[in-house]
Amino acid sequence: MTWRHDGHAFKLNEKHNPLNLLEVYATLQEVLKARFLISQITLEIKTHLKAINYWTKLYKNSLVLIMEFVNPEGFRLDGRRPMEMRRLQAEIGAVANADGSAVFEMGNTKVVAAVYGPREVQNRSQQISDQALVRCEYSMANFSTGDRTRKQKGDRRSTEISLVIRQTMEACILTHLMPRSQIDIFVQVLQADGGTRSACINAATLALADAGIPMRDLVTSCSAGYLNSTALLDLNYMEDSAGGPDVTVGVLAKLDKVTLLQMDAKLPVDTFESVMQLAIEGCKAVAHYIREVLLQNTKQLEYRRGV
Amino acid sequence: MLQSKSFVRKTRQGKVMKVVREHYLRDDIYCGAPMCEVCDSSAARLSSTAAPILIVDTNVVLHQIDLLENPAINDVVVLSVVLEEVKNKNLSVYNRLRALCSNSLRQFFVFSNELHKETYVKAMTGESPNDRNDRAIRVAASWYQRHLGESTRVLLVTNDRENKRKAVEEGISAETVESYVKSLGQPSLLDLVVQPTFEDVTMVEAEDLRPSKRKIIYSEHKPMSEITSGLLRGIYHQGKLRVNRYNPFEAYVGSESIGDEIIIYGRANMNRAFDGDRVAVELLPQEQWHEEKSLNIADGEDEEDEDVHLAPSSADDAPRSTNITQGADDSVVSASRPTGRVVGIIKRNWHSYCGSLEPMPMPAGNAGIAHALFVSKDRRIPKIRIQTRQLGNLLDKRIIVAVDSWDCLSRYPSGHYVRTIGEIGDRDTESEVVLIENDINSRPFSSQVLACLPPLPWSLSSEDLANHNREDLRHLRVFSVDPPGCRDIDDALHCTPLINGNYEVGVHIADVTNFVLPGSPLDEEASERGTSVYLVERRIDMLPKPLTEDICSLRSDVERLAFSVIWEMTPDAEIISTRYTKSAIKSCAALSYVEAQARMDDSRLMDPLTTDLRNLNSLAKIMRQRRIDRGALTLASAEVKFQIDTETHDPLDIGMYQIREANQMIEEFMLAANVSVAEKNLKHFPLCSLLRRHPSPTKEMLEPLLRTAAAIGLSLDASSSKALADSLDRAVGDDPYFNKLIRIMATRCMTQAVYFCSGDLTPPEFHHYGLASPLYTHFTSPIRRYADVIVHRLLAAALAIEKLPPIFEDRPQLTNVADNLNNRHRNAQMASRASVELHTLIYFRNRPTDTEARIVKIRSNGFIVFVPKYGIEGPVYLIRKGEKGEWLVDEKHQRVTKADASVSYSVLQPVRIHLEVVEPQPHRPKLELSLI
Repeated sequence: MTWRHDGHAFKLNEKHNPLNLLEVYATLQEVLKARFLISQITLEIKTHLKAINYWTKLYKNSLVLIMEFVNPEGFRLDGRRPMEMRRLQAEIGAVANADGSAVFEMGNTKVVAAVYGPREVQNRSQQISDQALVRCEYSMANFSTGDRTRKQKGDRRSTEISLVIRQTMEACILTHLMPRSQIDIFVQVLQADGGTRSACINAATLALADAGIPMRDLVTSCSAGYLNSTALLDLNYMEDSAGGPDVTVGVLAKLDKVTLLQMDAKLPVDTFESVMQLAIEGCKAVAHYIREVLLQNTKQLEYRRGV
Repeated sequence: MLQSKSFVRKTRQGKVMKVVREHYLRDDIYCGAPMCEVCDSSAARLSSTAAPILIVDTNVVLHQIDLLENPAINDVVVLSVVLEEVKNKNLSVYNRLRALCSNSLRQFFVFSNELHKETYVKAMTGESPNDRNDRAIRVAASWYQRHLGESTRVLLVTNDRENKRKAVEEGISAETVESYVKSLGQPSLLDLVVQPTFEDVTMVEAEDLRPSKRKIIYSEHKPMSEITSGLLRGIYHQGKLRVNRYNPFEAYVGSESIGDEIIIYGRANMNRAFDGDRVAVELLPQEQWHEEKSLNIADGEDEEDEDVHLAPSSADDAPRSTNITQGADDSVVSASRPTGRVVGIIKRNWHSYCGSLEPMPMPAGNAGIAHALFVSKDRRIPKIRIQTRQLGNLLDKRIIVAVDSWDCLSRYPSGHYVRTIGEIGDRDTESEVVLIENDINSRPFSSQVLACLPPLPWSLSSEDLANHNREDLRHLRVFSVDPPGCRDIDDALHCTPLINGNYEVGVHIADVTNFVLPGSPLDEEASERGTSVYLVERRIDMLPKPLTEDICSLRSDVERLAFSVIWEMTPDAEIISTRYTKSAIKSCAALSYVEAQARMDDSRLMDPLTTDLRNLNSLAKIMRQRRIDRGALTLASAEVKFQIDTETHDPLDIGMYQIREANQMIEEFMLAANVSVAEKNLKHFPLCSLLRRHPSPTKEMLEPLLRTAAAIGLSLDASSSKALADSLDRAVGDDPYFNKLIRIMATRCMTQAVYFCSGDLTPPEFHHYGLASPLYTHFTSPIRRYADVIVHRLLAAALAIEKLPPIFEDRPQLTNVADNLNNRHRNAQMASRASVELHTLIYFRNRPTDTEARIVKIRSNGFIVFVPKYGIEGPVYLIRKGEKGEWLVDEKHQRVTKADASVSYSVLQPVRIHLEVVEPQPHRPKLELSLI
């Protein structure tokens, strides 16, 4: 099931537990309406029945262990507290060929982004007369996860993430300033340890800024989850694969606007609000860091030019 | 500071992959000592006395948890590396340790040394994980000493010699558990200390040193690597060992690899395994299968006998006997079940056991240390050898003992004393033993739980009435019918004739969920307790008394909140419509079954209440008939009822529980309400409803019934519940009790009904065999069963009155809850049975009685009789122990005949017996049955 409204994507996939679907619809509709003043929401119900079958099978075949993700002392598996992010690391200009590029790390998740453009539209039929065409390609390096499996390019997951990133970035690029042109964003996951979506968006923002493309604000993204009745910021792979809810939020930090909101499970409204708030705080922290990195980069450029 | 952990892991598919995880080290972890000047001491857990701070190592926790639980041990720092190791090795000890750490009365502090910048240690090359962890403990200990300075003494408690030596070298003060406890100067604590095995600090063990005693009794357990490879190659089979409750020398291992149960005969073959252990079993060669006779009432290997006990009420309680047809036909024997022996134990299930010491003379000298044998109340547990300094004190006490080890050189496992419960034979002590044995929490409710209760006196508020989800039904003529003296009334009924000739029938159930909010301490406590437990002399409530007896109890003439199921029924008891609503009611009468029955029977009474009762009764009769036509079984059980002296609480009289029409009437409507609610819930929440199912008995389970029936020339058809019900109806003998007896025996073959989560099974499996209903749940007793509370919440969510609590979104958790409920339910039943058994014993103590009994099973040295009047069952021996038998058993006709054919007994035959309490050993009274 997907909720979509330009720039806003709200998705529930097969992982979502279809206990009481109508309740979920109502909840989300309410939240979206109240928060973002979206009046019309399109609902696509594709996988309702499929999801029920999926869940029934999953539960029957698996021995689900209830794991302790936050111990009573308040530490997570990797030693963080619930409200703490992983270590952030960013490097601008990793790909010399591109107009702008960046490597962004959140803990062990490492993503490289390269931006080409604004340039002439390659396929004339796609050209838009009053704004720029934004394209995005997401891929995962074969070596990004432990096992070396050859991944099909263009599978469902990467198509979906490409789309999510494109929509998020499109919402912040001032496309109307660059009509009849094209901007290409390539993101590749070099190392995956949970939160790849967020890392990709952050890397793309840095690369876009590096390329000097006009933007409303820096979009930053961060995820938050809810495990052991605790809201957790910035889930790593272990926590992500626990199957709990995973809320990914993209925020225009200065404008205080949400451009991306995804969730893969069901949560009561009040819990959802707090988890989302936590994710937004995380986004702001990321934005703060990115701004610092950019400032430093600019200072270095200044220095090199001898200004 | 960031450290990355990298290690190699094997995936389930057998691929080897490298895993890298982040490991953040911090400097904001506090030491937990209040006198520390550097750390934030607001969350300090340790006391500020001059006592040393103890740091314990993993083995100390694993072996000496009973000692740690003693309030004398305090100011303990539990390192996270220890916690982690304990968790991997023994989950139950881990939970106990966690409970200690969170107990605000004890000064146990968890120090996350693995996350602290200065105490994190990285494994050196060539260092084993164990050595690394020991080093981590030492590093943490020396950090504490440095951190707190010289004024505080930090003591590392370890029994590992190597670790202690290194610690002392590094300048940490270290002691063994023994020497530390000795330094405390409390000799009674020393009994709690587990004697270390020879690998650790050497201890002079007086008796085992003599070489003649060092005889190998059990074969060595195979090493784990061999077991794993053996399991892989299919020569070993693994499963949980279950010891026969009625014959401790016989055990079963349910093995998935064979798809059948493997039988294990004798302690030698069980090879030191306890009930509940996960074991690896090797099959014996087929010709050795059934080398032991299981037909004897008890094996002669030990002096234990089968006791007189309460008649079992279902297959789960009944003694299990292997169905061997002894005799000529060899083909029958070869078709019997596989037999094996235990070669290794994969996971121990040791915990503490209730029982008493075997009587023995006081030993002379030896500094007061005595070795004694402990006999568990639970017959499945072997005797346990313990060491004690207070033998004289303990001999006539019920005590709790924990098991520590079982060496292959010793016949019995060794353990240590944990605590004393009280005098043997004392009613209170024995009742407590019953509670402990069945893991029933009888502690008073905590203050947090009581804080969740609404203020008393509670009365219906206008807010409750203003709630548009709550219907005001106070104008209805609602009444309740319960056993006499019932104070927790959770159901009431009404029946109003409608103008169209139909009836409006309502079942009103106490609205417990209005007061027990999901996630509150009250809710958690109730969910943990699962059910109220009814013992003969007392009741252990699931919810605090103000709720059960006042706020929720639907007493007469007070306004109460209820959850109602309201049907419109035709006079033929056809349900036309069903309605569910939260409501407010005012009961006009709280009747007892006797009163209700008397009202219905008295034809002169024509008041509206009596008319309602009669209408309900006629509807109930139709419903009951319809249910029976569908194939519901009318089963019988031998429930007994005690009359208790109000002063001394001693039993005055025993009698069978009498069932009246009024009981059946109430039962019928409760069944109907449960079924209606189950349907509604399942419709709304197909994957997360809590239902109750009763599995059909397998052929094997019905076998003993059919054999007995065949022996007396009765043919029973057990192909379906309907067929069985019909043939039970036809089974009418010449004496009036015959039918009831057959029914009791049939009931015994059934398993118990269980709760389950609807998503875990397919709809055909939801079936309730006994009630012949495709769906069933429990809705009608939320005051005393937690399952009903869950069902109430589901129904409220289905009606969109309340939100669905988050637990329902988590299926594994819901399944866990259901499993816990089944467990608790079973334990509660076992406890009330044990309580009845205890009171039976007390009752007969001064009253030797002659009475009539029925033979229910024939054994080679006697038979087992059932005493209907008192609901008990026990063995009657024809041959005394050690004597030569002159009786012949005819298995086919279930008959035992004297060699000269002068006397014979066959199954179901009435006999006169004599009941008497005997004390073969001091303080060990038991009930003995003998023929007159």
